[in-house]
Amino acid sequence: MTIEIRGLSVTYPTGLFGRGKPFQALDDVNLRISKGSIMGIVGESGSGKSTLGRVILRLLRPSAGQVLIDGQDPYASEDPGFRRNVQAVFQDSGASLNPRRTVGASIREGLDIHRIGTPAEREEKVVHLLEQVGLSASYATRMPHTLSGGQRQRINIARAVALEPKVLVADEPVSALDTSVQAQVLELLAGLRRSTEMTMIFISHDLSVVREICDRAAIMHRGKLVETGAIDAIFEHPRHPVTQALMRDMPRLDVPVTLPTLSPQPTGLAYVS
Amino acid sequence: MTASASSIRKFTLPKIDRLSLSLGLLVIIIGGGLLAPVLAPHEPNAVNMLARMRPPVWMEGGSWDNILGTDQIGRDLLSRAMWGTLTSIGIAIFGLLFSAALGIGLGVLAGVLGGWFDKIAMMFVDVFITLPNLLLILCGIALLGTDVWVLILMIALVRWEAYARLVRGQVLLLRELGYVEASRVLGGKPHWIVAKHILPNLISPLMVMVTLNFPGVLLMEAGLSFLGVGVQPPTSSLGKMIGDGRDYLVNAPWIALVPSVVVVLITLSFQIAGDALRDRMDELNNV
Amino acid sequence: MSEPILSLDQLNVRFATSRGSVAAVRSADLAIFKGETLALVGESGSGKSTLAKALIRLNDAPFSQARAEISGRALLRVGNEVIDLVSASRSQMRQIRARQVAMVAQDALSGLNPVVRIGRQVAEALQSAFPGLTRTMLDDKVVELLDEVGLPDPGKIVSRFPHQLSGGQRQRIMIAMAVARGPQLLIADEPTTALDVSVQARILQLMKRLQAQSGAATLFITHDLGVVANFADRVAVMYAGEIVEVAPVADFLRQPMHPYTAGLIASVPGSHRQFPRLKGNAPDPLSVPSGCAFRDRCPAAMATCEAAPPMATPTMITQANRQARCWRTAA
Repeated sequence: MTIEIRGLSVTYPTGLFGRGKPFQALDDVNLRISKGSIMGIVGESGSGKSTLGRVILRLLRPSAGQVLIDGQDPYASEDPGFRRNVQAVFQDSGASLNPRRTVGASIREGLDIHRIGTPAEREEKVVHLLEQVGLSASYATRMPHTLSGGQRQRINIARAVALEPKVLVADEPVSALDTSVQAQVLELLAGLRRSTEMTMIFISHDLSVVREICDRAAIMHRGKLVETGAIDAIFEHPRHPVTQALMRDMPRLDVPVTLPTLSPQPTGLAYVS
Repeated sequence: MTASASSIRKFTLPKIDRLSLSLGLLVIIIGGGLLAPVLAPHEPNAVNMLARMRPPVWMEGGSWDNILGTDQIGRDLLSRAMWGTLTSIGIAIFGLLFSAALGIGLGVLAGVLGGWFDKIAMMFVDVFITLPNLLLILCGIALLGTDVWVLILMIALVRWEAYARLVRGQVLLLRELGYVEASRVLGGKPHWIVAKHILPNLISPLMVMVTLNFPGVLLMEAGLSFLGVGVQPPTSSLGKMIGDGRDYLVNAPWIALVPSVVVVLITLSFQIAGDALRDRMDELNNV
Repeated sequence: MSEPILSLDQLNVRFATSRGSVAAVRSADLAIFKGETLALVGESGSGKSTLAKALIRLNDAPFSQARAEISGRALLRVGNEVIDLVSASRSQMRQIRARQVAMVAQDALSGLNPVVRIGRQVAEALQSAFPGLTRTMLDDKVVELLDEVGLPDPGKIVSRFPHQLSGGQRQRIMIAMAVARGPQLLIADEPTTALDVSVQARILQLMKRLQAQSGAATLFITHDLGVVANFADRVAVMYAGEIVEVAPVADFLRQPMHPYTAGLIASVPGSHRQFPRLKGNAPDPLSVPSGCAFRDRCPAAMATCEAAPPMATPTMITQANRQARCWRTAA
């Protein structure tokens, strides 16, 4: 589904009785996301990137402007199909799962809510989804607190794609994960996009992660959209000072890496100096 | 935090014994009450002038016929205590249930609906808290009569606001949780979220609250009956028995003491059990 | 420069948990030299934070939950003396925490008392290090210090409360409190993980500057290899409680010696991928595989790996040394 964002603003009143200067969480944002692409929304904390995600998810009503998903405004009509088309994965994998429910029950929740298929069919789908995210079927009966952050995030992804959404909003999905696990979850998301042609919105403060998975990126600063473009273009020729500052401050591993030469025999630990 | 708590605990009985002891006592007493129709040795209202004012069996003049003695018109105190327990507990339980239902209902609605409904509901609760309980109940009984259901309703009004506030607070807290938001995104309507995510989390604090409130409710009924505005004859409860025995405290103190001891044992056991339950729940939550 | 300021000798840290005894740090040997920044890298559960906390015996403090059993030696060089941090008495440790070793934690909000003004807190931190100063002298020093760490308008900040400041500002204050006492060793436990990239860059610059001025050594704990590349002189990598590789940063990045490290570098977004990325998960601390802890996930595992590969103990540890705990990659 294509997403078109027009003149989107979210304003909060501040001060006593709202008489202070209003806070612009989003300020006249215009963006177009084409079907099947992965758009990165990049910015520091307070830039408005998460707010944008919440508006798209219909969790937060904008003060001005529109979000059109395939031409429809989700706020104009209470479209019941909306929830099946737009799903999310959030940053805190643990908080997103009810600690008293099994993994299987959580993954199934969307199916249960919309009464899709018979209970037996839903169980089967849970197994299928677990496999899709690289976990064995035995995970269905486990409790979230026994799992690692990476595993929990996979479960959140399984739950989100259970409804076969056309749009997936991922808000800092890997920021809280270890490096090696980040890579695995990113591969999973990229793979899902390939197999399902979902449109993905990938919100992150980490440019290097965004580069890994996104086709295009939109840079935000204090509620405003300051630059958009194809991902390589932004990396190679950042135009806006904010983008340039982000690139400059990004810690990089620029050194070309050769990986270890492995000797075929154990050598005992001769000491290398 | 755990380190300092466990060092204080050295001076009290180990928890597991407190819990078993109090629960055991409760089972015996409440079991006795529940099984009164089957186990009571005599009819509670059977007048027997020949055996009037007989002391308990371990005192001079007592007999195994009336193990805990008889009252001023010869009614067996053990049987009366058992039936009285049944009545008192029945009233207390119903009172609690109504109380909890009212409080939970309002609390959930206030927490979920928010806005002006919440404001008005909380103002209502605040007003209720300021009203003196006993006065309110006496007025209610004066207006509505002394039927046992009126009594239960009045008792329900005693602590319902505590449930309302607890539940509303919990709902407000739980509303912000990640998995509740995730449920909204999945398409969960408010009733789904309340049923699947909010109510299950309320069970533990509610159970603790109910356990701790029970003695208070029991005592409220006992107090009212003692004053004469609770249960009316021929129904009898523990409170009523104490009230009836007031006149004989000098000559036959056991008439008032037997039901008093039962009341004390029940409330004490509930307190200890509730306390231990809360400790156990805290431990589980700190996993 | 030739003698290490801190050297760990077979340091072990065990915890008793409800599910069994966990060896969070196993046989750690490490040396930190004066004036250098040694990055301690590892993923969740690797034991890096546990190691750092064990060095200042944080678990000894009253009100701490877990009881840690620390064995082995951690030799700190103080002037001409050498003190073993593992066996030092409580009062010795208090002295050491006051003057010799300072720690900056990840979450500045939890390190600062929310109901005490900034000025007072910093002054309290300085008091133990400068017992002779009067109240006014102390206050002046506080303002000087806050200016030194780049806080704007330090005169105003001293009367603010922690929650009124941003994350970056709070972290600068924590750093100020730590370095003010002139420690010889600064332990920084993921100090910039919760901060924005630009703030992180500036905080790291600040730390570098302060270190150059004081000549202190820094043990910098992080999971972010980008930070390691730009900020550290040497790096030690931990996996499942063990130190598996130690090397100067440039050598380490050019050619890592341990398959785990190689997989980790390959996993960083944007890195060249001739080596397979890490698959699977780190082992549960309660059930670490025998022999080499990494062999279940290692693309280069052999039969010999069932016996735990030792880390070389050279006759003389210098900063140019490279060590790896692997049967395959030595020499």
